[in-house]
Amino acid sequence: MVELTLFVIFGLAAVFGAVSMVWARNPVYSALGLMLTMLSIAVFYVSNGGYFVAVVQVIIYAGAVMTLFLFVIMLIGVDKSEERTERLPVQRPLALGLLALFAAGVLWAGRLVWVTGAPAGVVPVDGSIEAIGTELFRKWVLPFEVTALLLIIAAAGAVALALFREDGGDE
Amino acid sequence: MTGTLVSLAILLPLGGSVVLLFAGKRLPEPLAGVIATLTVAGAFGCAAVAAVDFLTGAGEALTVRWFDWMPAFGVDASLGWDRLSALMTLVVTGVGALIHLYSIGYMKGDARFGRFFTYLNLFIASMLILVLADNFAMLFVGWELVGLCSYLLISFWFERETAAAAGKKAFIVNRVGDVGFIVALMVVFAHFGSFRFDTVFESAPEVLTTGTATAIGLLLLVGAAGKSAQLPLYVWLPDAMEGPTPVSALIHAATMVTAGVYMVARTGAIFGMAPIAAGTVAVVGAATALYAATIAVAQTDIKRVLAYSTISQLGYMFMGVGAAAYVAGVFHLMTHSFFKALLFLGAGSVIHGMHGEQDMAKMGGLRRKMPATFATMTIAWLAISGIPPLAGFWSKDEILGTVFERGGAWTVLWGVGLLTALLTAFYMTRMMWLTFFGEPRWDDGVHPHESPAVMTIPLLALAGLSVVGGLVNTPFRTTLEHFLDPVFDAVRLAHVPTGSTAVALAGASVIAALIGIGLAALRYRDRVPDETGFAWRLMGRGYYVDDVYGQVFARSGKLAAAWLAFRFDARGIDGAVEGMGALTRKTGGWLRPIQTGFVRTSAAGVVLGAVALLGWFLWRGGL
Amino acid sequence: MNMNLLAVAPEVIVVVAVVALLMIDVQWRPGPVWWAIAAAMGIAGATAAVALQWVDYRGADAASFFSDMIAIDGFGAFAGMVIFPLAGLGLMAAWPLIRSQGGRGAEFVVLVLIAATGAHLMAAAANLIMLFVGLEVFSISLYVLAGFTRERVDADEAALKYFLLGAVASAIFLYGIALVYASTGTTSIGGIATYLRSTILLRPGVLMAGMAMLLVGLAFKVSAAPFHMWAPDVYQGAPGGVTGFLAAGAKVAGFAAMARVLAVALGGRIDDWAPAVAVLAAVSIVLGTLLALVQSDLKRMLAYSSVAHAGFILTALVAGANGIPDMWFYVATYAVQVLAAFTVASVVSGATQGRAPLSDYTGLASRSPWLAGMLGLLMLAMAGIPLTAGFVGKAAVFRSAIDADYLWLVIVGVVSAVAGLFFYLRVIVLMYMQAADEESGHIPVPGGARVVLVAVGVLTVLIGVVPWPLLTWLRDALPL
Repeated sequence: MVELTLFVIFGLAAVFGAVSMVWARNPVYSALGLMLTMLSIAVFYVSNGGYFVAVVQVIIYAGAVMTLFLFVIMLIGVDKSEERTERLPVQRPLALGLLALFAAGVLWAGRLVWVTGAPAGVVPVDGSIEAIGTELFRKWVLPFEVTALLLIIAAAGAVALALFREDGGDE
Repeated sequence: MTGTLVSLAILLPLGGSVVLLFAGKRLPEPLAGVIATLTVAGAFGCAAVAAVDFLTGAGEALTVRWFDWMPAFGVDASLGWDRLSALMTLVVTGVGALIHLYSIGYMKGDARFGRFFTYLNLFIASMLILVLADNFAMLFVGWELVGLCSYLLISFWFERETAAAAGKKAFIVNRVGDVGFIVALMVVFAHFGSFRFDTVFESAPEVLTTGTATAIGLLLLVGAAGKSAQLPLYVWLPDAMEGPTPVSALIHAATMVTAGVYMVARTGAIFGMAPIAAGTVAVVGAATALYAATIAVAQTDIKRVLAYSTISQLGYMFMGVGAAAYVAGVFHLMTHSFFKALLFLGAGSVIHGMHGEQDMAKMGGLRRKMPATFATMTIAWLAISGIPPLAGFWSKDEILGTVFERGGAWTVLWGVGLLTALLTAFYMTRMMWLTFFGEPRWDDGVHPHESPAVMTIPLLALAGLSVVGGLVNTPFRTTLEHFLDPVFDAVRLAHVPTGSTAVALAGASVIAALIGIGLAALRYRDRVPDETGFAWRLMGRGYYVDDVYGQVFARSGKLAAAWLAFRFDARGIDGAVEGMGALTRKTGGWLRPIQTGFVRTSAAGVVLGAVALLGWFLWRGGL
Repeated sequence: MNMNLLAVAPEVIVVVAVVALLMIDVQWRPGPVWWAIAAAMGIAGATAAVALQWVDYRGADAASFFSDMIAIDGFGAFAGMVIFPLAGLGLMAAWPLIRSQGGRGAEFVVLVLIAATGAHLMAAAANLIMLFVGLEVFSISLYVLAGFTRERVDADEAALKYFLLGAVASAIFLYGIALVYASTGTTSIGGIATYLRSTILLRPGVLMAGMAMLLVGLAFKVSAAPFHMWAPDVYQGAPGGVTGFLAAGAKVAGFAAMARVLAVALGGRIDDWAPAVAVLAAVSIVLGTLLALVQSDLKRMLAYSSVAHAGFILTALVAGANGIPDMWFYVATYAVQVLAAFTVASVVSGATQGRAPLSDYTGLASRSPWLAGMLGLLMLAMAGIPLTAGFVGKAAVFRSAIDADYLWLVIVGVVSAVAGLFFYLRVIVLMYMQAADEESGHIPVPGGARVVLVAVGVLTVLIGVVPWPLLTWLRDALPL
């Protein structure tokens, strides 16, 4: 019962945060909306026994990522807000309609009773650092290592895009 | 040994075109033509030697395997050498070689002399692939290549806008037919799991129901009608005159248009199971024959007379193969290729001599200036009119006789055929009189002259063939029928009338021909009558069918393209598309471009697709 | 954990080359020649490694390693044998672009190499998570490549657009993985297949939603309609030199992943997804063909034609696992063709340029007969004219669909292929049958582009005339 209550409260908070992030005109509000969503999700992790992941979520997103966002926003200037005139008149109702349909479809699918998969998927999770470490560096080591490639791309891409000069030369 | 010869028959012209493609520009002018002509003549030689066995009765049909092409389809790149393909090969290479020879003279001085012979050789090679194919896939390869070559050759003088347009038209109309053909192939494969002729034809009675056979037959007819210029897909052929005259001769006589007739004959096993489809073939043929003949009557351009005459004669062939008179149909195909090639080359000689003039109103009295052309054209004229004992009489008579013999509703088709024969004699006589008889009506400064020997020799050879070509299959001596019998073994052939019926029918067609000749001779004997009345104009413009097609299809196509571009891709609008301006101005609120280049529009597409897929899967999941 | 270094050898080799290249570049700035050497060694090594995988593990010997994360099978090995050489050809074609970027060229080379690695991981993945990581590695590299030349605002726009839409598609794909996991309890591709075979789901709603999401994500990558709208803008905006690799790589990797997910993991559910795939195929073919007809820019036209080709390839997939060899035939031959076609565009219209208006190609035959001949050949091949690889490819995918009883789809495909001939031939007519402008002269062809074009031209004709060795070979290119 407690879990259900928590889920409803923070689920609504997560959705509200996501919507307000997209909807807000002021980028600072957007950032705060994103933070709300991230924190709500951290609560889900806790209620599922994923304490370590929850902590990481808070530290990385609320700490590092959000700080970076706010930093960038400050540098660009808080007063910049986007123009909202829509040149395609059907676009907004269409988007809302489609999203409503999409959400309805997914909810409908979830409403159905389904047989859960092989038991392996739903055994109680040991959310300790040790267990995660074992999983990550044994079973999932390959995907984990490949994400390192993503970092190389991020570095190389950022360098390449940032180094651009009008004359085509470097530095 | 025979296999090697058959392969050589294709490889020689193919090799010739490759050599000319790379070296054509560097070779001095006549040499390129000579090489091309020799390769085709060589192909004829190979085919002739290989066919000797069939003549002596010893030859067996054989398959020449080149290599596994697409084994998954049961398709090898292999050639089938039987009596039908042998006959077709001989006609294609024989007439083709003469046309090549003639072209050396006709194309003299053209800036792209070498290129012309490259295409010409490739055309022959493609047609040989088509007739020598032993499976539908190879047939399709030839079919496509022939279409491509015809496009290249018709718009050979692409500097002239009409030539470029004519090439495009031929291509588009042929594509329409091709759709039917390809769909037929797919249906065939879906039912037989193979493209091989022998597999398909042997198992056809077990595998196909009458309904399926009818569907395949009708689809094949669409394809054949496109290539062989039958109603309603004939419109490209008259325009194909824009190509150099030897090309017209090649397309009309030996290659391309005969492909449809050949294909129907080849797939006789399927048409045999589908009387409705076969009947449709015959009706389309008869209708085309009469229709095109009436148009030919009112043409003033010498080549357009011949073009409509070809359509009309192809109608005869369709009538023949549709009536299961395959031998007669193929026979007429052969004789027609002799005299129609002769007529075209003769017309080309006239045009050459008249410095490019094609309007018959400005000719007249040419018989003294161009005696050799006149003499050979006379033979062709009598042959196509159906005067015995020239070639056209025997083949046309055999088709008409067989159709009559089938009785019932077929008698109506016979009547149409007979009327067409009369009209044929009429318009051919009209053409001869306007061109060669009467007083000269030449423009100032035109000094007609006979063409060089390189052009008249092919004329003489074809004239000889037009005289004796019919004798291979007369009611007295059915050599061709015996020759082709093994091919159509499994197919129920229609009967040729015998005895007094045969004589009476032959008499009727001869009388029809004589009436036609007589009427025309009286009408055009000493004057050029005024032919500007409504009926003449109507027929002269081909009943305005072309204009209607142009208006309906071309314009609606352009509008559709403009609409499409505007509605779905505002960024990629082709400025050249006509009608765009009008469309833009009339745009209402609802007609907004979908591809605007906005990210949100694309995202909407993604979500739309996601919702649709989600809906489908949920429905499948038992919503 | 069963470690087999051969399984990751291609990736390791490329990554070593990448790191070496970056290090050397930072330390000594040795210039483009050394980039080329490093890239060539990386690609050659990776190709050798996948060839070794092909020799040792194709057919029945296939197995998966690293806790069932990556497979060595004919499927993945063949994908590698396409992808790595394709990256090599892409780099050769893009070389003028790379040189024009000064010191940033090293990063360009690195990104192409990493993209190839990601693509191969997508093809060889035995686990949906692995597949997703590969997809991200591949996609993010392409986003950066699309916007690499920053002097043009439309390249920036193209990259941003690609990134935003790609992120949406990735998110949907990831959601699909989560839903499939929720209903099957595993992310292993083999595990999902086993579970679906051995379990009857009475109310498979979540699985169904997951399948839909997976299909959306992959259909986006291969630019099937209606998920195609990014393709024309991105292809037209991206610098000419790299567009070919963008288009070709996305097709190979996307279809490899799609075949793995649909035909293997969800193979037991073919009756559910095959009709949806067939409809996607038909819509892509028709829409791509129609819209290609009205384009006035070569790159944009090729983009729409690639939508149509995506539809043709999907046609093979409606046959499930039986269609995989035919799919590979089409994908492999089409990928090299589209790479070469964009290479011609970059040579004629400029390696850093985005647009390639068709008017640039008027009378090309008289100015640069060689280029015109190659582009003409490629157009014929894409149109599916007999005796080119394109024809055999079309015949192969149509046969797959016929065997799977999708005759209607084949008829749609045939009719569209016939209509499609027009826009391909329009290019040929422009090049050969119209006079060139006076001022435009001969176009020099860079060495790399020349190699690419000759190689692709020879392959296209050779495979078109003698396709059976490849077709026989591909019978072994099956997934685990």
